[in-house]
Amino acid sequence: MIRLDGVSVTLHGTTICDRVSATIPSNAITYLAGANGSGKTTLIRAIAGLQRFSGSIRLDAASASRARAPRRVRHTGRTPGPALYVCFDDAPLFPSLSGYANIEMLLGRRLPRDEVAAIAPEIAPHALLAARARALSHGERKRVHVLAALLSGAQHLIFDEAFNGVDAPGLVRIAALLDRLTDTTILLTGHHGDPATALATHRLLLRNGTVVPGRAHGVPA
Amino acid sequence: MIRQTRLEMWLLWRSWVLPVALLLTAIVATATVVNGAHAVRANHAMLEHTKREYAANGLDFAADLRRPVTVETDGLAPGEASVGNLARYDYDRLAASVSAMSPTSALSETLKGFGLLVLPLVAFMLGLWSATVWRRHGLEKVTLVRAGPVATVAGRQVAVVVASALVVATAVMVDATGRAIARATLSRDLPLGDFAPLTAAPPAHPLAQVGAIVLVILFFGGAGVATGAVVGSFALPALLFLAWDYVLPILVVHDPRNWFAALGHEVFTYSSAFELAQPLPIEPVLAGACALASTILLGGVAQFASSRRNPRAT
Repeated sequence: MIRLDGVSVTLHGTTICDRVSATIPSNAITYLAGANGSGKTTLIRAIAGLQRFSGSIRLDAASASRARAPRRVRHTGRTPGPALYVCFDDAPLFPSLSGYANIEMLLGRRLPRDEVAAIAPEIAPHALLAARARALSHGERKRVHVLAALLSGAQHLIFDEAFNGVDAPGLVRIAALLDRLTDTTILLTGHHGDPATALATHRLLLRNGTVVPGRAHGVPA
Repeated sequence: MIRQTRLEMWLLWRSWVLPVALLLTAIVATATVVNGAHAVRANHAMLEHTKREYAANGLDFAADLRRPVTVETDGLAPGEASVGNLARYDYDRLAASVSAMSPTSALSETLKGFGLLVLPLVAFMLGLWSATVWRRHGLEKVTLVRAGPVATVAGRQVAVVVASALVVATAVMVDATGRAIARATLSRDLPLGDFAPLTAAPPAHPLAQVGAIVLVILFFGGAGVATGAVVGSFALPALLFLAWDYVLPILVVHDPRNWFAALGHEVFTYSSAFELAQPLPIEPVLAGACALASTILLGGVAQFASSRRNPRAT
């Protein structure tokens, strides 16, 4: 579970998120919708500890911070994997490294090939992972990131518009894999009309930096 | 932090930064040995020339060898000197260059030349590259989320120290091997055993020498990491560092280059081959204290900058 309580973020005098309170339920897929500039990415950066904020963010039993930030969200004790993995929208990779090497860099650990083989073909075939990142398209880079997220074993997965650029068959395969993660809290972000909306069991709507009343946690998709 | 250090080392290796640094180090070390061998031949030729001049002028070469050399610089232009007793002067230069070619001198000779001339650049660039490469490719936020700013920067700092130590070890190994080969080659042409130093060499302090080099690594590597954390880009700081380190003269007493020049002259003997710039007057203890305090400060700056800076969506 991710619980946001009165989270506000101000950048250069402009309030991006204004007292956002919401609950991302455990072991479910929540879709955070919002137009460009509504504050989705900023909110995710606050959850990840990359953005100073006021208020409180709690991941399961761990508190990200209150007023003092950025701080890393602490591991809550459940194994395996870290507490949180964020799949960023821009899908950054080291251009000169292969997909395999990039996933190892993203996860910060060596990656047993059988672990990759068990999951990779459904999202990213061997040829894609063996190629250098500079040769990959944007959609293929996204697939590498999604694969890293799924391999991270994190308790909480956040995909920030992570499926933009992924083709329809790829999205179907990713959806099937996400469905299997029954013990993981997943937060997706995107816009209205995004096919990824169909993956979610819960929805939140962010408008002008606030969660729109009546569309908060618990309202089914 | 250990995981982050291994990751940084792996990235340094996979990105060819460390292999290139090691290769350049090996080339520099080889060039140093070649220069040293040339110095032996040149000094030997000069001594033979002086012997012939002594004979042509009816002077007693052997007698002058027993007398100390005198060097006068008063009233002369900068860089010029008036040498009395050329026999002893040329002999001492030859003896010093022969001693420097001994494999047993490899550690000291490498540290005093490479450690104070090339290593600052290598350590700074390694630190700067490590601190900026993640950000350049938009991956800084990934490491910050995974490891947090403290472990991220600490891992980077340790990795730079380890990589710099590998560079020094490579320099010493190549240098020692090269000196053994060069000495064997020179021995076929010159009676090297005939040119033992006439006065005892000043006592060496290997621990102090290694300590000075460790301080160089910590200071300049730390400066690279701190600069990268604060500035966030590679090119401009790298160019400014090159200008400061190799183009601009030492500015003031408390210029870090002056501290390390003072430390270098304190722990090494520069009587042959490589010559370190003469420092402006400063007590070596004070220079060392300044360097150590600055190293600690730089480490804190890197941590602070990484913790406070909003990485934004790079």
